[in-house]
Amino acid sequence: MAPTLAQLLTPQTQQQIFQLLLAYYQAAGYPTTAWPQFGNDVARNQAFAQALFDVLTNYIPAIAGGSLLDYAPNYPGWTQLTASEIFGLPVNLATFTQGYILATNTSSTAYNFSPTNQLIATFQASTNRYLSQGTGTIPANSTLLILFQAEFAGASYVDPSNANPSNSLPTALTLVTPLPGVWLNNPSTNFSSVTHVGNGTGSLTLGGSPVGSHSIEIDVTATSTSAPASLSYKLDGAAAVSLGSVSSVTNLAGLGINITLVNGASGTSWVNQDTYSFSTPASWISSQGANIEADPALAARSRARWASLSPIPTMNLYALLAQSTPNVGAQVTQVFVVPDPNINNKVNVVVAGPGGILPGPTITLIQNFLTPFRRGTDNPVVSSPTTLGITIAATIYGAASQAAAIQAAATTAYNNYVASIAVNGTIKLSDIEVLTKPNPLTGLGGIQGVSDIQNLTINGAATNLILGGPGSFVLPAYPPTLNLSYIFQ
Amino acid sequence: MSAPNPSPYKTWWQQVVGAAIPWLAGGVNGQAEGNAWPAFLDYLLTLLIAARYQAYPDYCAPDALTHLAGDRMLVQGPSETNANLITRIKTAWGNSPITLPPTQTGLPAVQPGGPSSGWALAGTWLQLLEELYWGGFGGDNSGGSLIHAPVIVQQNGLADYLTGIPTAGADNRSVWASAATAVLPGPIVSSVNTFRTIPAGNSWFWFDGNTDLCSRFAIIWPTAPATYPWSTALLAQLQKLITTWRPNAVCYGAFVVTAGRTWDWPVTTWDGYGGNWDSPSTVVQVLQPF
Repeated sequence: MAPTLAQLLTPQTQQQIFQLLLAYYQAAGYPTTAWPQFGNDVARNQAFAQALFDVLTNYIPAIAGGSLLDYAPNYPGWTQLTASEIFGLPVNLATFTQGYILATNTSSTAYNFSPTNQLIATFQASTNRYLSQGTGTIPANSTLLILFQAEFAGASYVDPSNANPSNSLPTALTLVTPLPGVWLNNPSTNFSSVTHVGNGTGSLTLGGSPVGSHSIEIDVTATSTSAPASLSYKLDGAAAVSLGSVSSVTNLAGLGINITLVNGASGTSWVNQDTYSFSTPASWISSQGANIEADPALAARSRARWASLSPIPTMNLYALLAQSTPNVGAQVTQVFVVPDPNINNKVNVVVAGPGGILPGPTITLIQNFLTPFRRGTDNPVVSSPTTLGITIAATIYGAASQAAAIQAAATTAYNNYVASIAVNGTIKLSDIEVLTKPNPLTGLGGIQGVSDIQNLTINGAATNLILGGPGSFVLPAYPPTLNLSYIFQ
Repeated sequence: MSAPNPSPYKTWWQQVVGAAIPWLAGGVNGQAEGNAWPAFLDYLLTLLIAARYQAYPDYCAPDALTHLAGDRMLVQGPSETNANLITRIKTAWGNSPITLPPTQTGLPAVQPGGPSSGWALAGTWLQLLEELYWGGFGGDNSGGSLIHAPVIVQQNGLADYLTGIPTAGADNRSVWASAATAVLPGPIVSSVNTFRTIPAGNSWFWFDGNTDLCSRFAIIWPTAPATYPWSTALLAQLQKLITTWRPNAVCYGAFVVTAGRTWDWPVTTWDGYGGNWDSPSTVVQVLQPF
């Protein structure tokens, strides 16, 4: 009887195989009952069993499951082989993080760097190292913004902005080979670039001193040849709030954000239902590095390959294209394709990466790759999810002798937890409690020295926080605000 | 057509070993041994061939079929046979070895190798209706006739439905129909932009007053199929099927008319608009807009 797939995928132990082999000998009438314990027959057949074990355990399950996308990720190498040879999709290779670091030179000596004389910057917290790109000179008594690239490809290069906000304690971001008088910082900028969707020729100029981490969408609510224009705004994906008919906005939502409407050179500047989106602040990272495409993601992309057979675009076609964008496809670890609920044939392609929101230039690259493949009257628009500021508040009880360690561990644990939440994920009270309080029975897990956590809230409520919903895509802003009070005994 | 049968190792023992070392292969224990580990190697070879066969729908184990189908984003419905699923798996490309359809059907000739079903037709209502049928949502087979089948209605005035049981891997246009929905007796004034109207005399299907967003569709079961009501898990599967196979248009929802009929389907005299279903009707919205 032919074996089932389940049987083929089930590895056997060496002992099981030895017993099976023995059964063949017994069935054939070969004497097997009087073998000395350490005799040749036992040794030889155990050696056979070892070789057969290798075949039955390592090869037959892989051969059976290797070309099935559901199982291939269980067998190293098979998903890439299947994707490449059957679906025609090479794996997305790992990419390097790039970003701009500001070098401030307080000395009277200029310093040169080049590909053969690269500057190496290190973030002390992560020990991640970045290498300067290109050639340049840091002028004496001046500054230079330098493009750095991660030493290795991968998603772990997600160091936060503003490591050294001043040179009073310039140790968080340093040069491996110090240059006398030079200190580094990786400043965030106040605003991301503005993503405009629609046909209006107008644009927005942003200014002010924004407070906090937010995503903002400005919607045009009535067509107008020139400003003033009727606008509304959505803060962090919340409901729209009317701004009335305006030419500029000062201190939007009390967040210190100023907006000036700039009319287009010609045409209608402000068109009903056009949207303008931006976020604040913008990371120092200009291109987020990604790991090599994981096998489950490659399997999913392979399935989506089928959609490319049809002349009519379906959801999976745009997902496939977004994740196959040359050089940056690996950065797209999450993609959602949803028809727009308001505009005919507009298709929202919402993408996010391993570090959350992808940099603006990456979004542009994906859009530029996808646009030529759009079909019919489709209008696929690539965008990032909105972000929602997260505040975690709690009272943590712990041992006074470990006070500093507890506070540091809590900050790290909560930051990492929020960073791990996917688009439209759920931030759970129970997860935070497990991260905080060691298991009362085993003493394992949690933060050592913590005895209890109380008054835990997420964004002011003692309930789980569910992000987003149908048609809206939300990521938690990073890092979260931590309002933690400690009682040490 | 299958892989050639390999020569058994037992035969190898008898012939090759027997010729080279006759005293070993010919003795009592030697003969027994020849039926032992060479037989085990034959068993192992059987497993190796079976393992490779799991990639081929005609030769794989039955429990591999759902995975082969899943690789092609196909779902086996509760009443779909393995043989039917195998055909769909093999024709997922849409390039089935079809012959030209009978000229009396009046359909344009489909060239061999051209798209006839499967992924080559993804995004068409015909293919979505097929996938709904195979997935267990597309109506009931009553003695070879299709009953309780769903209708896909577009707000801009077209309705698509199957008139018979589809055939896996085949060109199913002969069991598909598209019809205009009932015409408007009077104009519809847009609730979004009041200066816009849809004039009387046009086919239309009322979802709401938003006439600007007319690329919407809904799926309606004018009579409940035997599998209804559907569990939460089945509804999730239904939504996934629609999401996978629809064009990029908004689905206004899925509705089952459990009593009475909907006011605009089957196509009859238009008897008003404004969101009311024919009375008496009991309509269950099983999926919200997505």
